[in-house]
Amino acid sequence: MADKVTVLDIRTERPEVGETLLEVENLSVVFDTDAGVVKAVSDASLTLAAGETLAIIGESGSGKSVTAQAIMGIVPTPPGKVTATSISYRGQNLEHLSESDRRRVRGQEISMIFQDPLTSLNPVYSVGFQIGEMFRVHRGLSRKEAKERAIELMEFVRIPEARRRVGDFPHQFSGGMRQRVMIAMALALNPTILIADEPTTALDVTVQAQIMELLADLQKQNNMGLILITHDLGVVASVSDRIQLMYAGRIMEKGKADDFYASPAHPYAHGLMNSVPRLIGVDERLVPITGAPPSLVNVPSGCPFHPRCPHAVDRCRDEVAHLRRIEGFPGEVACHRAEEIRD
Amino acid sequence: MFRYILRRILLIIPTFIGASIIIFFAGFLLPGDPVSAFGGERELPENLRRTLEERYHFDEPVWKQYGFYMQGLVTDFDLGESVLRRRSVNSIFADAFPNTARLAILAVAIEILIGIVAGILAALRKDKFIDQLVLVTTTLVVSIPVFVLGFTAQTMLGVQLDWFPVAGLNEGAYSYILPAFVLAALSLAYIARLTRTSLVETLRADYIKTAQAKGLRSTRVVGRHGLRNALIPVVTFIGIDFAFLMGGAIVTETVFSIPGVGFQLVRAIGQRDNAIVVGFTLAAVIIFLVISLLIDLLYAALDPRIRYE
Repeated sequence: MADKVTVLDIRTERPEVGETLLEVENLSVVFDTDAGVVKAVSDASLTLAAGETLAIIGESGSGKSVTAQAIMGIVPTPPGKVTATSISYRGQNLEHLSESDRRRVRGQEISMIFQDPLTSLNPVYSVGFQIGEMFRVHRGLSRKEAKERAIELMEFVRIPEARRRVGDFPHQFSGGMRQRVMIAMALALNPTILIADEPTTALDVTVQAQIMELLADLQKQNNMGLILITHDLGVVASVSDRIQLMYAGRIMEKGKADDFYASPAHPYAHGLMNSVPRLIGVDERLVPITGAPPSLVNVPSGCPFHPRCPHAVDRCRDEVAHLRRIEGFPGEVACHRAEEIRD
Repeated sequence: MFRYILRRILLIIPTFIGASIIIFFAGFLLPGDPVSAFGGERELPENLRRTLEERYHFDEPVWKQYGFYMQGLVTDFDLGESVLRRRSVNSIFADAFPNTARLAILAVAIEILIGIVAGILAALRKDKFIDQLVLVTTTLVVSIPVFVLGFTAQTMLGVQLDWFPVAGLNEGAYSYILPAFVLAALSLAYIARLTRTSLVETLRADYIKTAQAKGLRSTRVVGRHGLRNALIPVVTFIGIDFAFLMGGAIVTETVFSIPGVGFQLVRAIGQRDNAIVVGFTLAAVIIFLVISLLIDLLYAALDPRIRYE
């Protein structure tokens, strides 16, 4: 596999293992809609190092995709409005870049794949064109050179018969192969960060595992930072180093993945764990979290989870809980009663 | 792709047979007798009447007449003969068609140029001033009947301001401009609306997010990834509209006295010259079918998903 890395665009300044690539501080995103102001993300911070996988977990509407789009700089403004203390990539604040510099970062340094590969690929262009477009636009290659690079990349992401299929259109591929096309496109210019927004949600279970394996493989090979956005606790369990749990636009818990899975601290995390079926202890009943996720136009006061939380007290209603460290838990949790619950 | 083309071509045959039967029999049912009309006010001598009837098969039953007509059409592309004008319908059509074609081509060019540009601007500035302007203007144009628009343009721009020729084709290419605008107006408004709606819809698609995430310029995101998809329904509409206009613009040609297919057709209807009515209508059907076939092939080229269904 090692020789295949040369398929990717080679640049001199690859990050070293452990180098901090991305630091997002106090990110908030609001959307001005007819129904009111939607607070999609409130005060979220995250960091990502080279070679590391960060999983952002949350239900739909928890703000995880919007966080990703804010990092990419593709939140539609208006109606969206992005504010942050900083969004910095390798020490450079992305918000201070000109539009053309920002565009250079986007796709080349930080790239992204999306949930549904069928609707995320343009139906009227061949996959070869769409992959090759990265080289034509960012590297000025000719149509023919770009096509050759596209074929190499398709082989790289293990699409069989790449040369024969380079001219085919997205609808002629299976779901798993389409997602491989998306991955090939995202990896074309050898980015240092890949954001995968629900990369396996639209795929069959068997294909899900293949895609996750492919992503993990590619990450190892060129020391990429990977942000994995998902609602599926199972998908991220084996591949992620750290997790951040989001609810109603806020980060509820962050820490090492192993600690999170062994014993989560936030009541919401408990709820999620109890609602996932396990293979052992078959006679255990699944316990759903009561209630529904809140509307982001009317986020509950205080801790947004309090209306559904079995441990809620008055303070939870009145006061926002910020991420903090607690005794006996290696990560950080945003819960007023974290210590009591943990005992 | 080959099977798609073949199937599309074969579909033309039953369509044409159906249309020709309806047109031919409708023409037959119209009041008036072409042989009597030939004589005008005077009664024709019996032997001359017989000769004419035999020559044009008027003495045969109508289904046989249809058979003879179709035979001539298929073997010699013969649209029949106008007894009244003592000319073949083919030669009358050949004189009229270039005028109609020039008018249609110019009108479609105007529709494409102004309609699509207005639609794109409205979509990109959605809910802003220019979008509202396009909305109001197109609503206004759609609600005015073509003949009102034609007469108004003729009176104001032709007679009063004297910027354009009032009628006829005496000033060459310039004579076509005003009628072409009048002919284009309705479809132009429709194309502007269609382009706007389609582009607004397309720009919400997931693949537009992908294109942005690839770090493409917004002109490329909109032009390459947005418009290419958004224009598929617009191209279909323009194609059908063009095919329709090539069959003759009855109102516009009449208002501006342009001796095209529509103009001649109206005249023939007035004179009860069924040979011209049937022949011209059938010719319009053939032109329509051929052009819409070409448009469907273009459509398949634009949208790869069509080819493999």
